[in-house]
Amino acid sequence: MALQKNTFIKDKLILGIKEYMNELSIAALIVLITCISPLLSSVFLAGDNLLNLLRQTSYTAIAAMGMYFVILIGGIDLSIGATIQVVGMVSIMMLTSGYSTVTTIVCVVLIGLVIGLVNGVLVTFGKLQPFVVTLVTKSIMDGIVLVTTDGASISGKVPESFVKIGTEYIGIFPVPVVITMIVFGITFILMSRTTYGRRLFVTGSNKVASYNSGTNVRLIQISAYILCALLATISGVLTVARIGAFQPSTTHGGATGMELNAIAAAVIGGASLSGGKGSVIGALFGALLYGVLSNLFPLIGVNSYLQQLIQGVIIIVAVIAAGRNSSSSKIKLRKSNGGSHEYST
Amino acid sequence: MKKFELSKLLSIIMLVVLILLGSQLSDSFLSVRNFSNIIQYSVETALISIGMALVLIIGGIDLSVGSVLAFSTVVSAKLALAGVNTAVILIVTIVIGFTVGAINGLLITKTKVEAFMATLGTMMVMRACTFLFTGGGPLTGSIKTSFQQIIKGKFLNVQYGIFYVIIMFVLAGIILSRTRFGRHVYAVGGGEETAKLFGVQVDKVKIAVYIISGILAALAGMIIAARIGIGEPRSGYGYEMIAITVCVVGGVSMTGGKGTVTGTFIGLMVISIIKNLMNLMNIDTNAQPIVNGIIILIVALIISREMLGKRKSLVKQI
Repeated sequence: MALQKNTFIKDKLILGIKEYMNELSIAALIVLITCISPLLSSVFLAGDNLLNLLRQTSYTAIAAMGMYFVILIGGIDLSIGATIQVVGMVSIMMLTSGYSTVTTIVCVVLIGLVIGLVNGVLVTFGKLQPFVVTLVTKSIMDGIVLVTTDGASISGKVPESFVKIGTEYIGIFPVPVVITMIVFGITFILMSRTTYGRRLFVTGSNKVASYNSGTNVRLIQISAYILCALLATISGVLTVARIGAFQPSTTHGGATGMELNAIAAAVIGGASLSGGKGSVIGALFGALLYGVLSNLFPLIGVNSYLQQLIQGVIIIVAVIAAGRNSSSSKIKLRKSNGGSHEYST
Repeated sequence: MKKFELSKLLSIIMLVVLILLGSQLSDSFLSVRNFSNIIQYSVETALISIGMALVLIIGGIDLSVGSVLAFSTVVSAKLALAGVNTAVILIVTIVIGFTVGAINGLLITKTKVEAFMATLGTMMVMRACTFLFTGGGPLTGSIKTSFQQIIKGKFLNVQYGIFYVIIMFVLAGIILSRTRFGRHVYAVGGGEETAKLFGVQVDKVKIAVYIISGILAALAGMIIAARIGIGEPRSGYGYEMIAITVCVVGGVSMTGGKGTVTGTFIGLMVISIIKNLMNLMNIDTNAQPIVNGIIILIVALIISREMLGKRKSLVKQI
């Protein structure tokens, strides 16, 4: 009996390792980079820099986890960079004209909700491609930001309580990092322990099967877009709260903002644009790898343009690698694992 | 009786409405001078849109066009500043477009990467290359007039740009509708498996189409360099969006297999006239993405509604 249990645990362990191979390899890569970093730069491993790195990563990580949901159901959201901009602009405008922090946050969360809803409804009921819809909403929101601000930054007196969200520490960790961990915890539980998470997964791998098994496919898809926009909103609030002022992005037009980093992080983490693949941990680790590299490169004197080039190459390599090892073994494992889990409970 | 299809006539209706609207709004709109200007300034968009139309017809997407354009702009500006012969610049430009297009095509066909991700990657890489090439700022100096003449010149008092647009569209039309390659492009877009069964070399067709798109984008970059006279690394942002807008308005399907060169031309005219009208009426250029976005959305919605009506038998709920 004991032997049986032992082999059972061993099997589960092997299954687990195989299932999370991609995530583990990213983690190994991060550890490797961290280990060799003292050879390259003495500053990288300093406590201050590490906390700063975590803080910088948290904005991308939150957005990447949101992007993961949309990519999981086979969609894409190019509008999150613009959402972050709109959220930043609206919150600074409201705060400087005297609204309280709570009212402002409630307001921008509602805005995020509406953006996600519009994207989702257009994709599902409008029968449009996610790529077209979100490129359009991106372009409209970018336009709105530019017309409102005329490209100039907005600043003014912002309540202390709002700035604290971006600058305070809880224990030794900056607030954005703590919020990232909370978001990660919630999304992880959502994906691994709830019916909703299972439905997202099934909808991503096969819409017809999902529909036939009684899922409201449209609702699931809309909810993914809403989740993505909401997480982008959080990321946007944290970004402006750090500075306490809003600076519109100058590289408007084209997909050149946060959406690229978020897509890159999710894809490095194993998500596939055809849907049904990847994990929340993958998106988080992908963002962390991205953050480590963008923190380390300037320290070892890599020019920022060269850095962009390397990041582009990393994306291509990650996608090629994902295509190579995706030979459906992973899906089978996940399914069988899920099945055994259900039987055991 | 044949059923009336709004989506087929949509772009023409838009064009007519816009011209009527324009003639009411501005006195200078309905002049030969204004129209030749509209076409003269749409050369870059025309080149990229033709490439994008081909890519969309085979069911792909090319996000890298804006960055390829930027890279070839700075390279050709650098060469022109160094006094290199225009023919040599043209060859270098074509080589750049060919290389990036071939990389896109190979990534998509040989490594089975989604077109979206592959071209997103090359888009980032090429944009970074552009900035690395110039070191961040624009390349300025005195560019030879002979190089600037490629777009600013006139033949029989007609600007060169108009000839370029006409030649490109006629050529693309002939290739798509009169050659074997053109039929293969449609076949691949209609269904890869079927095309393969009928003996079409799907991978070769795809690679060729991405190469064409790359070369056209690079040529557009060279024209921009000649037009503005400097090598601006920030040029070409959002061009992929403009090209997609032109194609969608012109009735090219985003899911592949459908679209014509004539449609693309009408789409180009619609988008260029809107831009022209907004300029004539002094509307903030920042508002243009909003207008373009709304137009693409409305057109795409109308087309998808009709598609939906056609295949009622399929599962509608999903």
